[in-house]
Amino acid sequence: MQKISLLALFFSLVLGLSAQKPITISGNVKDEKTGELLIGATVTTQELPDLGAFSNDYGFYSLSLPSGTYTFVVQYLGYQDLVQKIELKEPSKMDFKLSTGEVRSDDVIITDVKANDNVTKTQMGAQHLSIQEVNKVPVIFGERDILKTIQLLPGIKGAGEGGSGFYVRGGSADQNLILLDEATVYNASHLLGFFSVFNSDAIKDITVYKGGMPAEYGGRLSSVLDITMKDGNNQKFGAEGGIGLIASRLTLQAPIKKDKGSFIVSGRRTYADVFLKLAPDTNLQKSTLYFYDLNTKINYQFGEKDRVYVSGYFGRDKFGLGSLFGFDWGNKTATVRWNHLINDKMFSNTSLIYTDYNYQIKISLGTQDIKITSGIQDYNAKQDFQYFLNTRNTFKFGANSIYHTFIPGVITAGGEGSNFNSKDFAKKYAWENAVYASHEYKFSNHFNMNYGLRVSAFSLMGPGTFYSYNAAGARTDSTVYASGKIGKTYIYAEPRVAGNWIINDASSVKFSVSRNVQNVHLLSNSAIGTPTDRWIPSSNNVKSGISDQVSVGYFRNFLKDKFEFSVETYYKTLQNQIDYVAGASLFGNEDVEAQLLYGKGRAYGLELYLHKKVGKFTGWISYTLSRTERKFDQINEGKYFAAKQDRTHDVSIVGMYDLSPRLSVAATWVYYTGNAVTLQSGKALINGQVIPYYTERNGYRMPAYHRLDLGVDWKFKQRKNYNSSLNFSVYNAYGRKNAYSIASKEDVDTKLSYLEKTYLFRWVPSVTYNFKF
Amino acid sequence: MKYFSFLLFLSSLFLFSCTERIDLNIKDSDAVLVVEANITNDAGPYKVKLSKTINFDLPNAFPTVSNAFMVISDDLGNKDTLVESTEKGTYFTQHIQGVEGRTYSLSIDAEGKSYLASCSMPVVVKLDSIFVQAIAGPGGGPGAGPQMTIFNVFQDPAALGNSYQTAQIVNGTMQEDLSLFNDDNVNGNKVTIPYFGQKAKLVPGDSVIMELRSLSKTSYDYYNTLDEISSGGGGGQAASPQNPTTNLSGGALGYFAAYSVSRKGIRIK
Repeated sequence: MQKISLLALFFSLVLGLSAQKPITISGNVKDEKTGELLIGATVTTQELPDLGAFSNDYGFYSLSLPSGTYTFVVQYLGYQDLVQKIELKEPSKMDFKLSTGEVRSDDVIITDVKANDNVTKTQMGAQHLSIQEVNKVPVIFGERDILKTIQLLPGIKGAGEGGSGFYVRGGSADQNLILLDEATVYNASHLLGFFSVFNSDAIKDITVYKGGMPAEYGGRLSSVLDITMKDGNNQKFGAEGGIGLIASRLTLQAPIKKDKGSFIVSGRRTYADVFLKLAPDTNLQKSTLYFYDLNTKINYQFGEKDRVYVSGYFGRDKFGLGSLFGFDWGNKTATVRWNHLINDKMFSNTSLIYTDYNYQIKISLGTQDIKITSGIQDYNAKQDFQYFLNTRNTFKFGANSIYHTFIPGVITAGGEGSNFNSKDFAKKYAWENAVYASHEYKFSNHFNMNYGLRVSAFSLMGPGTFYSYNAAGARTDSTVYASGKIGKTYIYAEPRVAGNWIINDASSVKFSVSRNVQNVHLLSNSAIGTPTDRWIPSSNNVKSGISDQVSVGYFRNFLKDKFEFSVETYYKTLQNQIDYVAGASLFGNEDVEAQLLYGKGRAYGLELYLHKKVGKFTGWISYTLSRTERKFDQINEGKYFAAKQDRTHDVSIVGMYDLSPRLSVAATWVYYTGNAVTLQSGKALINGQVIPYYTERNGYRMPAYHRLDLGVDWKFKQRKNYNSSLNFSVYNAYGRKNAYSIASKEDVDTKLSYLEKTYLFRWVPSVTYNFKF
Repeated sequence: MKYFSFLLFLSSLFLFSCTERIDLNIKDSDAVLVVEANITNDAGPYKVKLSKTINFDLPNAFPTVSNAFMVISDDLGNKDTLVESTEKGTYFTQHIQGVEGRTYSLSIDAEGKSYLASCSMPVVVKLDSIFVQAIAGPGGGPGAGPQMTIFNVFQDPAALGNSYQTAQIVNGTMQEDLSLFNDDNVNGNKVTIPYFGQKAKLVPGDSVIMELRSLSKTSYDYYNTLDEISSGGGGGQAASPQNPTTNLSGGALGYFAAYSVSRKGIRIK
């Protein structure tokens, strides 16, 4: 009852504030050529430039204005501004179609509307990347990669070469919610992190939230990476693709019915293992090492008010060593969504989502063979509403329910006289629910606020047996839950508040305060993330991870919004973080929770960002000064120590220059302080072997990392509708031997110990031929 | 399963990798006692070695610890005081006999500090037979062709929780690498398992003795964590390497292990 009356108060307050009778204009913002819906485009008017709307994740906007005649201005990065006079007398439908084509001089209309949404938006700690920009950044093996590109932004740090995942503002790699068309992607990397699972040809839009997460997102502590697949061209058939040294890809898209529906299919396959054929070793010649992935999406508009999307991803990495050893892993996701316009102000989306991540290992030993599988599976239902009440008030509310199945391991033994026992480690089940509501309110033209609340509940579900452990890791007690029974439950309220004080058109100060809760945890005790890292739920032993973050930022645009500058600071605390006892064994282990240590963390930092978005020269400079620490009673005498991903300085410089309409060059330079690392301070002799003696966790630093990548893109002359280009790139252009790992060795002659670094790559040149028609 | 783990997988990655010597400033550390102590069901005397850790940049000469007072006792009240031999830092028992199923304690007083450890000696698991077969992979690492490999055959007891180590003695010389495993995936089975630790190529005429050691769970944990940080056992793969677990109180490194052994011999043809 209390909740309802609060809600009533809330609405009456809001309604009381909207005195005049506005008229609503609503519709979609689209790409003129392909019909692709555009996310985050701004819709404003010259007459009332302070009142504007953004298109949502489905390209829908709704704007309510007093009746009159307006000059509408619709803007989206990488597209021409659309300027259109519209007389608003009654509620209207209007789809805006933006064009990417060359700007003709007579089209240029001087408007007062500024491209300054980075300053005026309430959201901070968020970065929106256009795929056009991502595509210009040079990367390893010439494969454009959004996951690699976001690591060039402030506050986001890559795990380094050979490591999968990324770290956001001091969080761990498992604290990032990676969504592909709303489906959680549990392992976003291929081939040990050298590629991400996201094929950029199939991707439309990327937004990454580093802090102040909107209330509609939850379940992870550090960040949300929200990736939207392309809908497919609903105007005409199109194909594009690329042929590279180690990977090729092909994307097809076409209308199902013009303007009504379309589909896209995009596939990619690597053939890295062709190089193994050159290896001197016969076993390696027989090895396989490749991955493939397939993205597909279909959408169809039923009438004026309904649109249905079905999208899916399937990807698999395969590794094999002759007939001896086989190892493959991958994600499957499927999303069905239904957009419904309840009225011109109220937008609804219903999603049903399936996610699966698993790996499989096959080993043959003579006549015996053994197969191991493990993974995680989610069924997810989601309902979201957006209510564009008027220009001052936007509401979002909804609910989400996920049923998780954790599969710690299934061992299948076969063959004659097998040594091994087949075994099915008990699966764990959990049910994760959340409801949220948020209100974006424009107090005045100078102050916006977005406040919201997410309430999340996480329950272990039967059937299952849950153990308690003593300090020595032995079972002391067990609780058995029958099928369908609810076990240990964690309920948390996660407040999310963000405010923006707009000083003037070009500058603003923003703040945000947020709490995030996480109930699925990735166990990984290898130096790099591997596909066998294991997800476990919160339980009677493992408590919900909690992060509280405060951040303040100053945003400033220069030279008519050509340059965006921001400085953000954050302070974050983390509770119930996980570490491991020595020798923890994660696979299958039913008592894995007895091998975990629980502690806390803190992270703080300063992020500077200068971005030039338009013109012949584009690019950005980002710098992060930060500290990331963890604290466990059992490690370093209970004192705070630097987390692995603690990097004091982190710099990225990205520059792209169009020399001519057909020739462009790009360069990226990164520098960061070496990761914190545990090295031995002494040594001992045991069983005739010299072994390291450690005195503290992460007491040393890897050498600083830096690298320059270069790229050149040459477009061939267009023939009819056929466009093609050749892309050259060099990864690590000056061939720095960046340390991947450090190990101690003994000099054969002097018997003295020394340290040796392993580095993976010096120069990696690549060439890719891209085409589109 | 750990033998296959990711070493194989990573080896493909490291095909493209190179190494180079680097200089990092390594801090000094305080010396701590290192204990290597074993008792088995073989006839005594049993050996205990005491040494100390040294700083990383010193040559590999480890100081021994002399004049320690050490007692090994069992749960039946048998006690034996160890005597230092002419080899400094090496001590031997005088009369105590290791018996399977008993629990042993070791107390050490060395350089003004006291250390305590205890360990149970599991019941002997008999090595039934051994045979030789040439297989690819484990014997010689992923790069090597088929290698003469010794297979051990034994019956794992019905109860879960047996841990083993296999050792190889070639022409009278104990090989450096011990192969460690447990019955997690083979519980209660007739087990046929290759010796993975083999480094030297076996040639016709070699006399090979295989030793199957039954370890306690804590001993397994010790050897397992020791493997993780030693260069031969996949060192450098752990996210945060740690000192091996120990059953010694008082801040010493090393371990006091009580294990039972069973052996079989074969001549390579």
